[in-house]
Amino acid sequence: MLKRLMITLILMGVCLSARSAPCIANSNVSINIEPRVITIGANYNGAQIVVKGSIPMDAEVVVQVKGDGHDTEFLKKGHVLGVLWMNTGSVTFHNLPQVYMVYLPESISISQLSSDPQLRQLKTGFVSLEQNTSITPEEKGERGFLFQELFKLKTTEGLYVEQEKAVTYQPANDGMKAFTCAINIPCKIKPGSYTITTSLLKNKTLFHSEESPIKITEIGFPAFITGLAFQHGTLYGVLATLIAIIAGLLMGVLFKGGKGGH
Amino acid sequence: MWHLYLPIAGSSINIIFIFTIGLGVGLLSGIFGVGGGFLMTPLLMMLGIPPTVAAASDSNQIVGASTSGTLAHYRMGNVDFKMGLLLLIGGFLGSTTGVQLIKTLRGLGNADFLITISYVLMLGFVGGYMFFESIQGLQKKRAATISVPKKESGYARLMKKLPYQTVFEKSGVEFSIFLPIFLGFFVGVLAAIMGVGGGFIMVPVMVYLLRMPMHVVVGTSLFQILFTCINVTIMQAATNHTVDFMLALLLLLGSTIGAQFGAKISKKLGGDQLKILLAILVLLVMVKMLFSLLLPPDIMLAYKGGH
Repeated sequence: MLKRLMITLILMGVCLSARSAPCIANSNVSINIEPRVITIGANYNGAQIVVKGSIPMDAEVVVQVKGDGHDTEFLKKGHVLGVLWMNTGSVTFHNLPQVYMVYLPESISISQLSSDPQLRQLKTGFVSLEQNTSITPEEKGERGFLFQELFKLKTTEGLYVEQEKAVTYQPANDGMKAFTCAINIPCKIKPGSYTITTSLLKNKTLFHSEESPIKITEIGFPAFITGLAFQHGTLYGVLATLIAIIAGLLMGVLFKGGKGGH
Repeated sequence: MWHLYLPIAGSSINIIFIFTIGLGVGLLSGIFGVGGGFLMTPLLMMLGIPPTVAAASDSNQIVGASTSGTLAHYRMGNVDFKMGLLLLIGGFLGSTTGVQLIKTLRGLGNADFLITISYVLMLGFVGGYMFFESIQGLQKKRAATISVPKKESGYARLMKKLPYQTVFEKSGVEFSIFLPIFLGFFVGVLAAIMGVGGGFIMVPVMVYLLRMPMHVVVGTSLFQILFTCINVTIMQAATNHTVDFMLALLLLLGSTIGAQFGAKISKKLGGDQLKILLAILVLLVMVKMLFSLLLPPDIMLAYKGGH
């Protein structure tokens, strides 16, 4: 009962705070995001968020999902003695978002985000992220390579996405058109708050932008396990070993019964 | 439908798949008396589980598998508790020393390189020696030569001179209590430096340096692994919060069953056959490590520490 009440309060809190905040407003536009809260239960295996709405016929939509930035340390692999591949040092990316996803319509390509002077103003895409992220230690000529490997690692995990033709349009009435963008949330995304920024462009120039917070939260058994593991680590460890021992003994007893007094 | 969310690993996995992996690794554990971490941890990492969570949760499941395996081997009279306890005392002192030693080594720089190379060389040496020695053992049996009393080796003479000699009835050997403590210490230091459970090093040590019969080695090794992994699980849960109990539970459901079947298979195999199979397994692990060193990685960056 108490748990249900807490979940309801969380959902209400998020819904109240999650109303889209327009950065650059245009009254002709409607944007809807569903769901705004993703709950992680015992059989959670990722989710999908759909951004849809109605925009002027000549407008284009770019959707970005971003998580909070943290300083993140990585191990660098390199050659030792000319033949062996091993960890040869570490590098820290400062204020690196845990999640970074960019979804583009058919008319805008990934390369245009960095090559087109007007689209560069949007400051979105991997190239823009690279330009706005510092690393230490920064060795000469290594920066480009490190970011290339970072993007490879993060895209493999599904946490970084740069996708063309991901925003689709359908004709609507009164000089307006409907748009849809489906965002796949991989199960590796950590619980927390994320921001979806929906940018509308006319002639490659931004005329409307909305920031909408979304929340990913654990409920039920996963929430109980996380709470116990992080708040009562030793107790959790003792319980985990005890249950493992009991399971081992139980299996031993079961098998003894099966084979008839070995 | 068959997916389960792992809150500590922060990932979702297929229940049937994880159960099957547990079953397979438990089988190996029951046959050879090794923890199976060398196989389980990379498999879990391939499924997207962070390395630190994979290793810690694996320790948790080994507690279950080795309880099941120890019980099965105990019923067959294959556990030398006296020897196991002395090795454990040495192992505990050794791993504590090893952890301090590794800090010093890392401070000197390039320690990872030295550790990996020495690990590969040691696996190659131990695996190769066991393999050829067992082949010779099998050939001698086939030739059915009349057994000639062996001349006592220098090692055996030295062991007899050590103080506090005692009889280990289950293993059918007699030597100083300091020998298993010292060897346990040695394996403990190596295990801590190399970051592995130590089963691979402990089994050959018991066979060749403690001269224990192979079947008693398997049972006693499992008994020792049980306590090592209890310690690792509680330490990891308390300090790093990397034990995913959901993952461990699924794995141990499979591995406890596998360990029981493994113990039965182990009983049916001869000592030399067991040694040859274990030697092949050790050599395979060495080849796998060698490949990971020689082949360029797909991605030149990896998360550091508890991702």
